[in-house]
Amino acid sequence: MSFATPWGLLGLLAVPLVVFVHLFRRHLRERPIAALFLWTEQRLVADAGRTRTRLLRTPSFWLECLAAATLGLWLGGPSLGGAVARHVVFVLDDSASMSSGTTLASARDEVAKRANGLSSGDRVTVLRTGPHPEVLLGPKALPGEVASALTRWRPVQARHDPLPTLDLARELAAGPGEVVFCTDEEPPGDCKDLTVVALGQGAPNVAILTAQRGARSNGAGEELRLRLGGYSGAAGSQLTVRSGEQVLAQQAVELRDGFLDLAIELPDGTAAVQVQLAPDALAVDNEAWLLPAPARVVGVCDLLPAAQRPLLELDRVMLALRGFRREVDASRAQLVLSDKPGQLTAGQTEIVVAPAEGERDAWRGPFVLDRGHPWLAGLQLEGVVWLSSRRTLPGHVLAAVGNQALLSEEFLDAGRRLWVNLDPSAGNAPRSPDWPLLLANVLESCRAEVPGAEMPNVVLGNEARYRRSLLAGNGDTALQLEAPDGTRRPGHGLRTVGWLLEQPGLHRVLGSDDRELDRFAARFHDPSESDLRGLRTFVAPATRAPGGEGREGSLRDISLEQRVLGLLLLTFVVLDWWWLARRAR
Amino acid sequence: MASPDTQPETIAAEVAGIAGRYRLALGAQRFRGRMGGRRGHGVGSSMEFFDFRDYALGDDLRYIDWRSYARTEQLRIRLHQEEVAPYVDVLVDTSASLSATPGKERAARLLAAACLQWAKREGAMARLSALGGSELLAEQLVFDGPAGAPLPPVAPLRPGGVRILLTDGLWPEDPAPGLLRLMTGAARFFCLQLLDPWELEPTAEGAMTLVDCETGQRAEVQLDARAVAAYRGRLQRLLDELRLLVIGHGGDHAVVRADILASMCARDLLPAGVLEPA
Repeated sequence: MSFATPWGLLGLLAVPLVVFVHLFRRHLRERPIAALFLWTEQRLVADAGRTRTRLLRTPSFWLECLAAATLGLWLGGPSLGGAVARHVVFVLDDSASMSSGTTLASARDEVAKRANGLSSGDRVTVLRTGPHPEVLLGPKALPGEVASALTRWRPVQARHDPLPTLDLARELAAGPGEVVFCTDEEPPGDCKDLTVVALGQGAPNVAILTAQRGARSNGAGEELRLRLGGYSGAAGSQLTVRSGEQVLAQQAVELRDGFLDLAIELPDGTAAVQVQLAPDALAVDNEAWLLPAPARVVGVCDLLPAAQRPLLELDRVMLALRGFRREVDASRAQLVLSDKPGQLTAGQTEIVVAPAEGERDAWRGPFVLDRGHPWLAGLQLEGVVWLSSRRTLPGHVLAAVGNQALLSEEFLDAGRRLWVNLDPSAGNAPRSPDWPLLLANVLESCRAEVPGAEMPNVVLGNEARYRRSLLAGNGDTALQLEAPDGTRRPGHGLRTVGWLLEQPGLHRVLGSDDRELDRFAARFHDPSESDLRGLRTFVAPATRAPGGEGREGSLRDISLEQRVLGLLLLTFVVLDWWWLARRAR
Repeated sequence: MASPDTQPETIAAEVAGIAGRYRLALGAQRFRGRMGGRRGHGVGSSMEFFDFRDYALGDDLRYIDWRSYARTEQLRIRLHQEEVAPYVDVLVDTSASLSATPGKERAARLLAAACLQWAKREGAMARLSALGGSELLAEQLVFDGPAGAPLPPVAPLRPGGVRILLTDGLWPEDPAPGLLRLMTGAARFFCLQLLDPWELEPTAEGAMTLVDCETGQRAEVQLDARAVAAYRGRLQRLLDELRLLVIGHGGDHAVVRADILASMCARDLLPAGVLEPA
């Protein structure tokens, strides 16, 4: 025996409930009398709650127990065998063009209509196409649950290959199943074993193809660079640029040759910018949100001895560097300067300038550099006299001369370390242009470790990544991403937390106590989906079963068992009513 | 099957042992009936003088009052009182309330049989009838009739006779119209209102379900002192109304507590003037 809805067996709890009610029912002594009308003005007033009494095993008691047990079984949907039921796998095309015009509503109606046409014993599975197939409902759920799954289907994805999802559907539908692919264009490959329902309609559409926010060419302030595209004869639209409640620009745009490039200057300090086109066939490509680039200031903690700082020309070098702040607490810094190795945390980089005691060698070259390493990008060491000690550096060597390593990179359990075998008391290495270049390279590599959103502006379907501080008290231990519609998803990951964005608009990263830590702006970008010319409407029934196998299945029609149980339940209730009415007479 | 206490043999034995001690207190009332020992309405052959009338041809010469002829020379006949044995109609309320308790049912059977016994001792033509029903034997009494106001039996009641009504008088409706029809034309009317001891004096027994044995209606009541007092007040009003109705129309009323026959006779019927020592 199997149960379609095992939770329905909780209804069996009604049996002990009936016993409980009978145990605590009011049992009063009966006395036959000749004139009840002389007592009718007396009313029974209970002085206290009911107490447990002897259980009377009357026919009514047994009938009520049987009715309760039958009700529990009926809710559980038992199956003892029966006719093979159908299993229909609906595959929903999740590409953005499915939301154009009335396609989405028509597709929902079509799927709901087909699901409503199934019997209660049939089963359905709903899949959504995408880079990775996603199960929206099921497998083998009740047809009545399709409606709720359809409300969660909001196609906004870029063009993708539906074949992985169709293959999964074929596997799920193997045997008695059938596959219905709901799309808006010709499906790829051989789909004769699927029922293809295409509901697309070509329509003119204007889309935001590119939206970027960056510094102006003259370096003063920010500007917004847009590229608009028109398809199917769409020649123009109305463009509006807002920042909060303030309208920054509003103009009619005319697309010559189908495209238009625009540059709009943004005032200093402009926060999030919303670019919007007039409504047309496809709404998702009419809007783009852009956030300003984050500052990402690197924390630098200088632990070098005071006597060593002038020798290393650090004050001069730091004046030439940008995008950092001095940090006293080494645990909060991304870059640590020191003369001896310390305890690092994840994401930290330490530069250790530590020549060993003993003899020194002054090197004029030739220097061997690992030019593929980002720390050494641009380093030449031309004309440099490097005074080094005779020691072996830990890690792998980045720069060497002769048989002596000058720079090495050591990977630790947490963070990494740059060893510098340099005695600044002699030689000209600290005064050469390569020294600030080396520090600038290391500083830039540390910038990626600054906590916060790595890229605030993300294209739909890509991952929004947020880097945590891993410091107690920063409130970013548990992160959630709040979508524009208010739904929240927890973030997973240790150092970097990522979410796949599925809704256009502004997303908020929330830490503990719902404090906003950062924001992401998601926008749609796929010109091939914005071009609605290739959409079609047709229905192509399947000409063979998925996988070509016989329609043998394990699902059973449980409606017969439920009818029998329903009849038994009704019988017990009627018998109980009859018995009680008879006793009352 | 009847319980041993209501077996006809048991009833008859108890009645035979007690009924002989008493007789119905019929008084000097004039009755109608067969020839007997009670004063009748008409002219008879008793020793008691009744009236004079002029002699008519064919009159028995033995009844000529010769002293009057000596004084007036007019022939006159002496008439004597008729003596009859009265008709006795025992009317039994056969509603189910008379069998509300075994003791009450047994007492009803005892009283019905005793009434017939007393009537037989008077030499009367006794007849047992169910209210609203036909004539029957004492052994045929079944208390399963419907509830409702008293109705006369199917066979017409004999005028000028004695009528004994055996009932508990617990009618929810007004019994006056039915009772007056039963009393009309009776020379003597006795109403024996038989009640169970618990019906007369219920005890405070707490919550219980009361079941009306006639209608089957149920009521859950809290039998406490206040409820009992209220019930007794309503019962007393019911008894007083019935007593006034019966006495007001020339009948006799007695409340009888269901018990053994000897106790019922000595305690209830004798003081109420229904019986007198034999």
